Amino acid sequence: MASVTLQALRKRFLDGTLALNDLSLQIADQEFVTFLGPSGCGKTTTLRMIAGLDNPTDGQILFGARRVDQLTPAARNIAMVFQSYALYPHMTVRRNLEYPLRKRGVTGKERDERIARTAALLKIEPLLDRLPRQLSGGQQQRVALGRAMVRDCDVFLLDEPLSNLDAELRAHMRAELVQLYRRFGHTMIYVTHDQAEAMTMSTRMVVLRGGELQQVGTPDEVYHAPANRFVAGFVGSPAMNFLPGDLVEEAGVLQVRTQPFKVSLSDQRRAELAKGAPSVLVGIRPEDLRLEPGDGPGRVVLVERLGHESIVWVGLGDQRLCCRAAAQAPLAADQSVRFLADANRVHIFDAEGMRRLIGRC
Amino acid sequence: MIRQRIGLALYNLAVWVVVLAIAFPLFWMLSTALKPNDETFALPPTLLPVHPTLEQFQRLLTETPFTTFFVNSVIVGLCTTVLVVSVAVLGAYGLVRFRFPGRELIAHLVLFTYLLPAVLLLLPLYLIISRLGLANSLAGLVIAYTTFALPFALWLLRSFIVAIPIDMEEAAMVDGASRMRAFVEVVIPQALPGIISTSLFTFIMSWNEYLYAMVFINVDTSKTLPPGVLTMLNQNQNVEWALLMAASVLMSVPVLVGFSFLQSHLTRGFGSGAVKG
Amino acid sequence: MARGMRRDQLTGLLLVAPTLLFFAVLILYPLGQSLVLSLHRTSTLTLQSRFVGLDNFRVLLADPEFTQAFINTVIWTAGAVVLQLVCGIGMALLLHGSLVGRSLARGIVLFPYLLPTAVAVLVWRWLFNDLYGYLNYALLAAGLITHPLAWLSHMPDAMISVILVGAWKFFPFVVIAVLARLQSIPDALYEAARVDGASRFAQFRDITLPQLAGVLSIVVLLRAIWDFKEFDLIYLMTGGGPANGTETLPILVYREAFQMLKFGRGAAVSVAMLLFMLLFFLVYFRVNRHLEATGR
Repeated sequence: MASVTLQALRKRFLDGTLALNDLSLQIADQEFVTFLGPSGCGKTTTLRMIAGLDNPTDGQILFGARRVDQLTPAARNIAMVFQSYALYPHMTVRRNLEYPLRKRGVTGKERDERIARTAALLKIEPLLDRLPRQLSGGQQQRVALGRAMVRDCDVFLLDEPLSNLDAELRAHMRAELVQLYRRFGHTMIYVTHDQAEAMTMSTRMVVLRGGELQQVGTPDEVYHAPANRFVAGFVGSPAMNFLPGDLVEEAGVLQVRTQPFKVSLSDQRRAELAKGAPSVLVGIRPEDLRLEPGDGPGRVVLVERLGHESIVWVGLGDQRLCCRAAAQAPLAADQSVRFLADANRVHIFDAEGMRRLIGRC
Repeated sequence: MIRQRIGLALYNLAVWVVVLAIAFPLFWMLSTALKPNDETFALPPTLLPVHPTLEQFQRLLTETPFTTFFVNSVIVGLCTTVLVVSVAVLGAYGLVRFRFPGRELIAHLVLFTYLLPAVLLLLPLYLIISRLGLANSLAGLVIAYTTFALPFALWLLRSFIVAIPIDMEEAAMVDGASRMRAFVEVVIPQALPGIISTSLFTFIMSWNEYLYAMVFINVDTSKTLPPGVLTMLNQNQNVEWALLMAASVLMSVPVLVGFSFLQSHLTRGFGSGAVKG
Repeated sequence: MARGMRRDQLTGLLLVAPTLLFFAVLILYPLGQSLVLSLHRTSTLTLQSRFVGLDNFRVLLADPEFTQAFINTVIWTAGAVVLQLVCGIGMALLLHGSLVGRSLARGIVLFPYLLPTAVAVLVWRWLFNDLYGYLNYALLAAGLITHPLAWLSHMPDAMISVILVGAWKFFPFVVIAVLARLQSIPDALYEAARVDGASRFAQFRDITLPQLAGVLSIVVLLRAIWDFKEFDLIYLMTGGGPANGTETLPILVYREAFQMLKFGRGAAVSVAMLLFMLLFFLVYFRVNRHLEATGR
């Protein structure tokens, strides 16, 4: 096991695009870190550079105190699960598991024991003599995981390993991966575009966009104190609502005013507010926005009844806001509604949405 | 429903008539090869041999240098295939997976040389091979055949290797293999169907080649089948068509065998221009 | 630039090195030699050559045999390509349906393409034989001709015969390319068209043909290039005769260089061929790039 240090890592592709700009990051030993972002954000590029499959244009990568960025993948002592699983199609499951051991000179009894142990752990013993093409997607996924787990490695890399599974299996594997992590305590680096995976599995998440680092923090921090509009909108589902707003002092109380609602900040929150222009961007999550039937600026467009709750879409001018409501909320399309917001739950950013101005919610 | 059935039956009938018409020359070749000499001059010609006999094949193998030509063709075909395919597997992998200066240029050059007319290289190649002292030798022929077989094999193998996901090599490297080990242990096994069909196509190209073989070889002992059999056509005053058809049948057999193995990869091979046209 | 990067480049170059060596020695060097030879005149007696500049080409342009060979090449190429294309597309459409014994039918149709040209020529010359050939017999029996024809010793019969044999031997290339494309057209397109009320003919015109356009342009170009440089088939069928009637440029090269031992003139003809073919290449690359750019 080892910690991972990225120092001013930069990657420019041959065609000139900047895939990753100046990323510095400390990943502690035995941490489970997720790289999260939309496609093209640089998360996979970063993972591939850590694996040694791509070379950084600038910067350094260290495992513990060992500098590795000039080493071949083979010399880095890593394990990796590929998005496509990349099982060797001409080898049986057993031979697939055996391959990384053979390459590291693990032989004889120890090799057999390790394969048996891994297969038992992942419940793939009955599959050992089959070829990858005879397995279902979920089974292939487990084999890919097994091939990475079968030997000791310094760093465990996972490149969107669950993205080819159906929703049910994905949720199941998510829980299982967390259990495996707790049991073995590998240093894990996990790449995904699925914010739910990042939220549920990692000890810390790294949000990237267009090759630029947006935020590093625990899932809790990232959810409750997103660093900017992008992170706020990317993490959480349905996504946060954004409204232009103003900060107005009235009778010694600081009010946040937007078209549909206004709230007064508590003294404690006000103390955490950074100084800035009065024009701001206000963010509010669907669960923090309440609707009241009656005369108001909003008009209900659609009520999605999910059984345990309802998602309500409300038109406001040419904007559309999303609210979470109770399963049986007495709301219907075309109804006029008022908005009520929780003052402790509003996120305030600068007008461009580049910077968070207030403490965590 | 019934009208549909009748339509389908008529369609099947029509297509098979056309298919059999296309195959008629092949049938005629086989039929003639099984006739005794005098029956080839029968008027009207007999569609099927009246007195089917294998005497033409027997004469071919005992009274003519056909077996020598056949053995020479096999030697040239095997040597060309082994040489060309081993060079092309490395080259195609290098062109597909590595970025280095001039890569695009080489890829274009491969296509360009693949389409180059043989007559353009004929004279200079003849001079080179004579200077190397390889005129009238099978080795000289193998060298000449690389000029069209290598670009072809490169082009074809490239299409097979491009289709192999790069993930597997990367997985192998992460698992501790070096680049070349990953190539040998992961890429080659997966490219194997491609390598086999490229080998078959290359062998067939070499087997069928006429021009270089005719120009470079002037002694009977080193002749390959195509020019060898055609000299049999021009030697005699009275052309023995039954004997020539028997030779044609035997010349076609290896191609037929290769062809039946190639069925599944035919599109690919043809698509990138399987056989020297 | 990182060290790993350069190492990777080096490995790549090493892998390609044997290929490059063969290309340089056996293709590029002879190609250069051809160019040099075309600028020399070689004495047929002493085999000494001397530089004559563009003289060979000047002589060539004034030589009616060269002009004739060029015209013959164009006639042969155009005739063979058109016939291959028509027969190929037709056959592909026929084979695309639900046919009993489809893979056998395909195998039979495709086989002539892999047949040695020498064999194809022997069989057809036997079929074309003026006295005992099956073709004359069949045509006489059907009353289409009144007396046996000497197919290969008269013009334009000889050229027509060669084009026919060329079409028979090479049309499978068109069949398989078109067939492969036909199979990759999603059924949903036809189903959508049927839902929209398109007739069978409208489906062919509005879906099949546009989908085939890309592959057909490549097929036509490749076949044109290959037929343009075809030597074996024509030479073995007619030897260029009767009276140079089917003598194409590749045969002219061979005759000048190896029968008359006029190396310079032979090389000049082959270089002239190369110039024509460069035109084909340019079009080919253009079309290919366009097709790749439009994702077909």
